Amino acid sequence: MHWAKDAAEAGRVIAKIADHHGVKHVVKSKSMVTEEIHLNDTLERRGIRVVETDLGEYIIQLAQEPPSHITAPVVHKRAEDISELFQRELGMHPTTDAVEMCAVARTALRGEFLDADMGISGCNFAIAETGTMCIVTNEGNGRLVTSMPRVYVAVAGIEKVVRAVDDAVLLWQAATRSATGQEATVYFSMSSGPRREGHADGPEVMHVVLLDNGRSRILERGYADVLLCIRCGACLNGCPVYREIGGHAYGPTAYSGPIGAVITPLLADDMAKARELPYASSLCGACRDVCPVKIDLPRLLLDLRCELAEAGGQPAFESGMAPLLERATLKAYAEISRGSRLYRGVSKVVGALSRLAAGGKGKDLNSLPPPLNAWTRTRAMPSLAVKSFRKRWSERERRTGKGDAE
Amino acid sequence: MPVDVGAPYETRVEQALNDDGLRTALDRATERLSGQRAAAMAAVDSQRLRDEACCVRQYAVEGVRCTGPKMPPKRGG
Repeated sequence: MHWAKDAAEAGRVIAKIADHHGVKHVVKSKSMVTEEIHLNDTLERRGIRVVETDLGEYIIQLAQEPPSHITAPVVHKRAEDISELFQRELGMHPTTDAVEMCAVARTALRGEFLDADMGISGCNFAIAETGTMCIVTNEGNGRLVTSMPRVYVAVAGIEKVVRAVDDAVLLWQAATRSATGQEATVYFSMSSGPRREGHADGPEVMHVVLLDNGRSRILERGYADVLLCIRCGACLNGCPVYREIGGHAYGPTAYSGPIGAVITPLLADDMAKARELPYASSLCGACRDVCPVKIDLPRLLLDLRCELAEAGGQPAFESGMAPLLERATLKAYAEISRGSRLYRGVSKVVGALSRLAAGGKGKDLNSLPPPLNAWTRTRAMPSLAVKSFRKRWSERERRTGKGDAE
Repeated sequence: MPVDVGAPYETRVEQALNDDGLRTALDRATERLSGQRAAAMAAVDSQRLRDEACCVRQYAVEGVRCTGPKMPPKRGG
């Protein structure tokens, strides 16, 4: 059992284990924590060949890209993209059939499992009562990584330790339903130590590396809730921002989406390195609504924004307006919104203008004058509907005999 | 790679928004995963599952502080 205070120390510990056992070839099961500490780079710099064995991770390793999703690292690629990659890297014949492509990857990976000296995995849950490291997978690669090579190393964040098997099983249910909608993952692998006498398989040696890497600091700073995360990725799938920009737009980080926007600046030594991320949210609360452990991510994002503002830095983004103009615009908006009659009048005028500029009702505005062109540079702005929500609601109320809602 | 992860944030976002292939892939995957999650959660008492999972995780995180609170009874207890 090893304790690593940061990424560098974890890398040194694992490299030392590898050196001690003469390891030249490592197979890995999908692990966000080893992405966090860039373990592959550390080992490869020492001449050790590292092969990812989760299909998604294997694909992005071949493509030399970072993962773009916590549970589905290759979510940014279409089947056509993967087919091209496999044709180029693995000599596959042209096909986009998922079963055929999986078979090609499986064949390539079998040899890697048989040849590897060391297996490295992350850990979904570490059970204190039994000293068991649990990993959940759908492909069975986790089981091969933890049992076939002669040396096995499990890397776990210090917050992963739960009390008992019952707790791990409960979290497994919550994580699986939230991540993929399955009742259970295909595999739930539990490793409680190296192979013992009489056992048919298992590693000769097992090491566990418990990683802090900023987690204690997160606790001290009052952001304990973010450590509740079980890495299911549900907040990413529900986030309107993530759904538009994907994981790579969050930068060189293992964690993207709403959870990444909170945890990445906190894990960084210097929060300024990821100062934009707390602003990468509309604060709509969709992430909080789907989180299986009820993390209030919008509140944490606001807390981070508050910290950044109090630190005296400039806002991460410029609105494109001079501060005075921005203040005047917001003040005017507040005045208009206060009066029902004024709001209706202005909505009518703006709606008519937007439809005129778009060239008809139901059409999109493809260009707007500055500073609103910041929006239309990369996407279209729908023109306002002829009938507003208030008008529709009012009509509905009249139809159902409930009077005028306004 | 269409999005250069080393580029400044605004550039990364612009690259992502301009990548039609990425948008297609994200639409397909996030729609499917969100739909499957909603169905799986509707099949159980999701509020209870989330409450209990939250409780277990809070206990685990408090353990990191070494000042763990009293753990509530196990499920069904």
